[in-house]
Amino acid sequence: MNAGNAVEVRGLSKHFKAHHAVVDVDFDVPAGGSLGIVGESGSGKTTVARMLVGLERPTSGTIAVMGRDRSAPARGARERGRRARELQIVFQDPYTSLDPSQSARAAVEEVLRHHGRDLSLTQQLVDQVGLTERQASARPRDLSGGQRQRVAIARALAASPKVLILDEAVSALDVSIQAQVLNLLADIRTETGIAYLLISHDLAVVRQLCDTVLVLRRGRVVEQGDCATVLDAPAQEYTRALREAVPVPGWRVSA
Amino acid sequence: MNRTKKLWQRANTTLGRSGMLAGGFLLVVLLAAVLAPLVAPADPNQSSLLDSYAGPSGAHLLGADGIGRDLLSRLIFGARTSLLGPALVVGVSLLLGIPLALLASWYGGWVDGVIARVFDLVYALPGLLLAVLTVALFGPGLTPAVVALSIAYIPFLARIVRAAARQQRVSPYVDALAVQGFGVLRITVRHILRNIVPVVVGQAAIAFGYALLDLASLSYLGLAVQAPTPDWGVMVSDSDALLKGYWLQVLAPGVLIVLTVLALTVVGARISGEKPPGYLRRRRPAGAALKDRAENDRTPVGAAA
Repeated sequence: MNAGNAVEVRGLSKHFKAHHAVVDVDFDVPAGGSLGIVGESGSGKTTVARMLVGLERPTSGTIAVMGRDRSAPARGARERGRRARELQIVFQDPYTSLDPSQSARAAVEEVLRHHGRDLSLTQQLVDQVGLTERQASARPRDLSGGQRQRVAIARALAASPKVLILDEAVSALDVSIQAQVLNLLADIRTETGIAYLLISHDLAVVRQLCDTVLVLRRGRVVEQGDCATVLDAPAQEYTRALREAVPVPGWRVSA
Repeated sequence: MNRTKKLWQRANTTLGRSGMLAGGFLLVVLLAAVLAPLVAPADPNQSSLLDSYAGPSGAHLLGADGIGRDLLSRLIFGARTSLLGPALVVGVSLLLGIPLALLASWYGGWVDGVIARVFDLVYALPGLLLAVLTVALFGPGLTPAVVALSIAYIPFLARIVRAAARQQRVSPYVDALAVQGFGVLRITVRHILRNIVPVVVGQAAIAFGYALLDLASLSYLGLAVQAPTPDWGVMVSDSDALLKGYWLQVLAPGVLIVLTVLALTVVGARISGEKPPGYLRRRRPAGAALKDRAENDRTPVGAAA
């Protein structure tokens, strides 16, 4: 384990019976850095994220976050809490990732209390993600998609994690709200030095937020490296095809 | 005052007109049962052979039974056993059924498979038959009948709870809570159960109605509540009165059973979110539909995002 890495993944594989969702994936996320994982639907991006947070068990390979192995399921409340304080996740769908019966403030307070943190941090987190007093007291059904995603970010940050996984966290939002949330995430990274692992099919989002990028296809790593190099001058045909699939002015569907 | 008004408005929105009417009726029955010694005009077990089969009069508003006991007082006191029995059945079924349902929904796989098959097995046994068997083994009385019906009612309630909890279990918010390090108990009780409360309460109200009917049937057969304890089921079973043409003595408790079960079913269905049938819906002015649509376009709190 390199002391400078927040996440180290080696030989990670996940098989669902005959289907090999992730095959022999290696990558690192430096402390305070940001890695983007891109690929088409079904390429295994979300499965990687779910294995990192412990929602899926790897078939083989190792996962280390902040130098501690988490390849096996957490045993006991203490270990669960410790892992939660290392790595958090923001899910794609802001409409279902919040408890419908809980206000934003209650959700953040519950996490703070669980991790033994000061409840006065609630206001700080609410302010940090740009929620007003009224929005913080509202239930999710009374908030828009962007506001809900801000609540999800505040709830994830309440555990004070060292790494945050953003699993298509802005895909369900419209473009202007997407930009606001991306700016917010960039600001949070500058303020807290948190590392990001951004999972997206949107290359523009990855370009805006990530230092390095990893391209996945059918569960295997196609290419990885510096974000500008991989996206501007891809070495692999698949990465080129992925880049060319982005609609631009004058773009036509080939016959 | 403001809070009471809000509560009233919320109840009105949830229950609707038919639900409020049914709820009001249930409240009256419940109050009568609780305050029976205060509101009953006479002692329900006080017999007077001179008043045997007396018709409705100033002394006995609904008349008197074969041994001259005041019918209205027996109906009011009868509400106690008639409501206590089903309450116990539903309470015990929920107490045992909810943890099993949550366990099945959380772990899925073989745990869910085993629990679901056990529910199916118990569901296949008619509750009344189980109760008759229990009474045959332990003797007649309210306790064996309640124990047997409680077991029979577990799958009736737990299958619905399991399905609703399963729906919540696969929601990303449950995954998010697990990633936060919360344990199974906390997530299931504090979050999943809290979100399915309307389903549980609605189903419990419907089950209460069925249990009332089952216990009344058992009392009618002489297997649950025993005479002379006043009970609606026991009163309906007074076939002597019916044969002699004193139909009110059988009709009054019978109508009360039907109305209470109907009211519970209506309240249960409304709480679970079931819409009332068209003929029960309020007739609305033409502009109301437009106003509704405008209100349904929910405006998020504050500016977008």
